[in-house]
Amino acid sequence: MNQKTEGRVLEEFSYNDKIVRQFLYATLGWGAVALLLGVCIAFQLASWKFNLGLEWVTFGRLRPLHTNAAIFAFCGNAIFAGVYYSTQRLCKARIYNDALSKVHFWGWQLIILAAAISLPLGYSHGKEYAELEWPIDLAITVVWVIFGINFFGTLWKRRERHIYVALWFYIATIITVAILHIVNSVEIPVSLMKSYPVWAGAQDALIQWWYGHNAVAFFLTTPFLGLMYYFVPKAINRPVYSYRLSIIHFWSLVFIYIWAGPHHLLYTSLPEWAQTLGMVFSIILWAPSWGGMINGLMTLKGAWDRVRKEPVLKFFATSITFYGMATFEGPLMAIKSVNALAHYTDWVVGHVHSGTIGWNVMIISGILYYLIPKMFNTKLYSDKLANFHFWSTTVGLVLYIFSMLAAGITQGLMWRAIDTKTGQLVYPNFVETVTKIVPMYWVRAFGGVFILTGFVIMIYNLYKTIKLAKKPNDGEIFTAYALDRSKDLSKGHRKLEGLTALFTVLTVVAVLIGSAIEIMPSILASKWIEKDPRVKPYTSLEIAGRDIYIREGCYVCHSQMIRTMAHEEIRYGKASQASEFIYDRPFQWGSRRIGPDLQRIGGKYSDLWHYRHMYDPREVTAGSIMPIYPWLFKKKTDLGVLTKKLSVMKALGVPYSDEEIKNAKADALAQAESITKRLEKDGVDPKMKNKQIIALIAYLQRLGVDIQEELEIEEEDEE
Amino acid sequence: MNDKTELTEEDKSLLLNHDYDGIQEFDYPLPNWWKLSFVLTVIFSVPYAIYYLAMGGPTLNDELIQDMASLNKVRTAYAVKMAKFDTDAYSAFEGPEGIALGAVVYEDNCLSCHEEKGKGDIGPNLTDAYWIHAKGTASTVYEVVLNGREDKGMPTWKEDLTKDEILQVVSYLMSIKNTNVEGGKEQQGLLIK
Repeated sequence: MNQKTEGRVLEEFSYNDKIVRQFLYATLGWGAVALLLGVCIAFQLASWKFNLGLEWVTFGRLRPLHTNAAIFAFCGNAIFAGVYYSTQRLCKARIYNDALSKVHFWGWQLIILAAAISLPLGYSHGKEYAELEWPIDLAITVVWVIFGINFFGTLWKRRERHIYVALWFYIATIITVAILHIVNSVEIPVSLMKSYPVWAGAQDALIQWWYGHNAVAFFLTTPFLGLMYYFVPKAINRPVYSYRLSIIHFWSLVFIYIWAGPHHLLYTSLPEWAQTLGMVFSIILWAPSWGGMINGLMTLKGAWDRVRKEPVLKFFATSITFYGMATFEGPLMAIKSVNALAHYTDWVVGHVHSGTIGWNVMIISGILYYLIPKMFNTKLYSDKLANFHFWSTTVGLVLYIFSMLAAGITQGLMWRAIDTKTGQLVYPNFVETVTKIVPMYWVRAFGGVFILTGFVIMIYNLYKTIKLAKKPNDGEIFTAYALDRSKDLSKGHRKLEGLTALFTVLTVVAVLIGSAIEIMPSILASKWIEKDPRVKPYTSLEIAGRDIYIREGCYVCHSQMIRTMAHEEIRYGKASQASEFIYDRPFQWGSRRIGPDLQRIGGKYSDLWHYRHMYDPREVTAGSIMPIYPWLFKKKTDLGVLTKKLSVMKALGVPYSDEEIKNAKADALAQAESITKRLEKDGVDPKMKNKQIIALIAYLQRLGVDIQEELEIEEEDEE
Repeated sequence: MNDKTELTEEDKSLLLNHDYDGIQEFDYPLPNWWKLSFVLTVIFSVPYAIYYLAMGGPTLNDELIQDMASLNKVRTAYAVKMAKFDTDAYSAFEGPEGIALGAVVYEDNCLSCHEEKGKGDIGPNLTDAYWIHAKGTASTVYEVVLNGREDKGMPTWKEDLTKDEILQVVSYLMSIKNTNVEGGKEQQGLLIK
């Protein structure tokens, strides 16, 4: 019954906690899947035999599945659970629309299912954390907008005049993820499950890492800071340490984070001004990141004795500490000279996991241990098991971080070692630098087993908790006065906290400034990349080969980017030029060299070498950890689709003639025949010409050749 | 669980009248060390950015060119030294010890294409009397290993191997020449006796 008081209505309402529980269960399920996949691919690096020789479970396809499952399935569901739970309570309002929340839940699970099927089948964009093909991209957009409507609708219906800091972070998350996802996924479909991005080469790289870096920022950081601001003070029952620190670190974080993307592209062909901006904003980002850590830890400090005893608080304190470590290490690694050593090595992989496991998995575990007993009005089944989970995760994580740090620095130093007397590389065989760190891969894999074991124990513990509880305490009726719409007498930021629309607009402005300054020149300036007349579009067979390269996820282990460093030029050839990539859709610069760089692999080995190498890498490179690709020798290249592919490329500005488009299939066949003819001398069956291996060889033999040829002539002239 | 801890006097004086679902907020001042570190990162970054963006600070490419120039002095000198087949140095590796060293170099670098014992696979048979590029003598084989024949699939080894290593492997190759190992690849190139 509603009562009138002070001219305002006292309203009754209840919370929708069923949707929260659904998202929590999904978090548990997908979390186990994501960690299991992580353990699988960790063992695949320790021994290539774990690839099983099956295309669907080979590292290049499973690794994207692991990252997508960890980020979007595990962390995504956790975010939705936490946001729905806390937003209702912080707004004193039921979720805007129950039906929308159902569509949101099932839509998101279907997207994950689609990812879990399409990625092993090889449908991939070849852009990290954005691998899903265009129909799934569209679905993500729709479901995200539904989430946004439900969230902002709840804000609109709120009974609390000012919005709490957790909600600020949720606003930044929802707005920015939408912008990032849409801009990075602008693509033109070729078929139902294949598309090419509008962006190409260095521009694609810039936009991808603006997206990729800010996926870390606005999917793995800001929403979890919001969750921290709700669940940490709730769990410890203490006030948050500093309101003004919340204000300063929120705005500085949101404004500065968006600029830092180019630190993923230091020493590459990205225009250097963008690299410099990426570096300095990463350094400035250190303090704003630590603002969140200070507020979290200082809130906990009020009852430090309890942190030592209660599993929930233990997980929170550890997660915030790892957040602090990762956000210190990040700016450090963004310094050009440090990045020169760290980039493309396992140091980066270790850094990422100190964030994802140390921060995300830990804080999610804390939230689960807090929320599930609370929602069932009971106590956790076993504190002992929760403590075991905590220590198992911590030990596993320490093994992970330090093995990868050791592996990364070791390999980085081996790559750059030059004999001062001869000017030669000390470790010219790339594979030497790999076999050296394989022991570390075993350590990392067992670290992963510790983490997975802990997680499974948590699932058991929570299952028992739920099982022993009678039923969830849903449907409790709360009362609150309707939103006070009288004039707000508060000033400054406090006033802004009552103006949610303006708050949202200002957040959008904050993230758009850095984005626009870094990205717009690449779209507007015709001279952003100087064109090189020697660089020609790929032939139709090379396009077919390139799409196989993308499908197999070669980019997760091989870069195509010779950085501007002496040892890279000696090892791989002339440093890459931005002009060489203008027809690369998507760019394939990579982020980790588990195998060597391939940008100038063209012509370095014979066709037969590649043929043998793809069949069994160890036949030509002893000690190689690369998987085998026998299916490339059985499956036929789809030549029929090439006309369509070339015409889409032409629509995107690649100068193919109508003739080339019309003859795409015949040209591809002719090129395949000439390659097969060369192989025939060495006993390869001429019938192999229509197999995928031939298309892949055509692509690999083309890599970096356009500029290389010219260079050799120049050198001869000098002689 | 959830027993509220006592607030100190300072806590109470800094407690704001904010209350969201029971969550309250203090308004503790920003830690000085935090403010200082924020300011220091800006003090470092602004001049750094201005120097490289607007004042013509050296680009990474400039630095690469400089590094390569100094490195190339050493490399050119060594390349000149390498280019010459050194009979004296070679003869030091002609004995069984040198051949054994060469066999190791062969296994690490050549075996993948020329197969065990030089019987040939991707690359030609090295145990017969037929030669495609070299003329079957130590100095001509040395030259082919050194410079490679990239158009024919033989890589250059001047980057990967030292002069001594090439001499050793040549010595090994001379030791297996004309052994016509069983199961060897078919003859390629010219017969050289």
